[in-house]
Amino acid sequence: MNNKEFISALSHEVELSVKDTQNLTNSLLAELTSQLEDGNTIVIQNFGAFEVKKKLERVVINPSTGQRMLVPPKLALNFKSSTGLKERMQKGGES
Amino acid sequence: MEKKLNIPDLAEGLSRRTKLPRRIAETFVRQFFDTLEENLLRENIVKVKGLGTFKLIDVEARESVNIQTGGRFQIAGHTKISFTPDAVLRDAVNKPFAEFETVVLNENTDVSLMEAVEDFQPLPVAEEPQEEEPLQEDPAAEEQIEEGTITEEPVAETVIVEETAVKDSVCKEPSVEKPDTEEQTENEPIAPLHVTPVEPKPEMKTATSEPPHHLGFWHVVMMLFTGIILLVLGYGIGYLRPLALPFLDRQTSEIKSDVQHPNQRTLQKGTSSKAVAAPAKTSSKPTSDSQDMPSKDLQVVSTEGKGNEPAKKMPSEVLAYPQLEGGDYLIVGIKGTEVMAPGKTLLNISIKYYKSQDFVPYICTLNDIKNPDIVPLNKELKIPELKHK
Repeated sequence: MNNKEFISALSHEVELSVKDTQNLTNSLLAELTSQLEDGNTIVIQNFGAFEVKKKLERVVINPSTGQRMLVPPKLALNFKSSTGLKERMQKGGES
Repeated sequence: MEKKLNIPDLAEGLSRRTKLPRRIAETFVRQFFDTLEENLLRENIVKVKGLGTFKLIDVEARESVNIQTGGRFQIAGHTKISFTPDAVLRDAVNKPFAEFETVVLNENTDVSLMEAVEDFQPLPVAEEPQEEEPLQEDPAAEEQIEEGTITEEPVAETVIVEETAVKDSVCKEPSVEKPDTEEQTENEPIAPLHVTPVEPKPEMKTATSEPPHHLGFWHVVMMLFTGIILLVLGYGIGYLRPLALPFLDRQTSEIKSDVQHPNQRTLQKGTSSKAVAAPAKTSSKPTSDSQDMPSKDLQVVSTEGKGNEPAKKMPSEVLAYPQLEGGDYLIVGIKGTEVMAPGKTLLNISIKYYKSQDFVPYICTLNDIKNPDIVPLNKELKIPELKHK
């Protein structure tokens, strides 16, 4: 399912026009992004948590050339699904 | 700064942005994630622009071992959720580190030390992205080091030496001076990276063990001053050494006359303009005025390490060619040339001449190739004649 389909499904759900839904979604995601940029964790109950984690710098080796590269440290966004969602996933998978 | 935010907090932010009542905003947030979940369970994949892609991945059942009992057991097959952040979101989150790029390491850079540093790391400073500045030669960076804060720099080598230096040192002053020496060596084009640290150390301790009562304002001023001088000296030495070597004899005699003036200005001039000059001086200095000029001694000692080493290590023909820093081999001549043609790579040239692909860095060094991935067509490459150190 791509973005367009998702927005139309959501607009159906909230009973707004597609355009309004799109605008609202954009604002929500802008808010989410700015919070994550500040290093905050966002917990959505019954869905999961978005968390920024710091990855240390490390050395990797290109197996074909044997060249060693120093990969810089970075901040990565992680998503951890909540236990509730996990359970529902298993049920959904079985049926 | 690092808070946990729930749906209500998110809704509040949304209502601030859109000027919608909070209640509606909250409903919308809930609906958003509900729809996301619902569609995810139904279609196994949902892409949301600006957020990322959620995917359900089936994990097959597999066997594992209970580490406590050693008994085998089955991990049941299940579905897991995978989330790949959108490029926009990923970059936004990574903004503090955005200027860092993956660096190709020289083949002989010692990484073992770096791992040690990583264990040693849990200083609170390392967590703050703002504190991390790329290493610069300006006094500001100097100050940071002097205050004892150890920042995690992108230049791995410096970090290593700084941290080990701090660990090793007994009294305060050497710990401060050592990083300086190190920075200098790094700036120098020829000096091998790992040469300096060990030798000058004992002398530094003897020089500084006497005046510990000096601590305080003067101490700081002195250190700042020395730091700046060291930087300037390091630059000068690195720049002038190739020129200085042929005149070595003449200079040493000049220096002997210099030693009679303990005036600091002449000292600076002497050391900065004549790289090899330093050793001669050190031998006489510490005895004469060890009490009130500890930092001056340090300068001299630290320059000694550098002035000496390359003179010992580099035969004259080596100086004629650019050398690979930290390499096992010296470039002592040119054994042939190779014209870049389509299909030729530095790698297969290296294999052709040396039966190994490890010598690409030497070819790059000799031909002044900054980026080994981009070599102009029809460029004539000189193939270095190598000698093991």
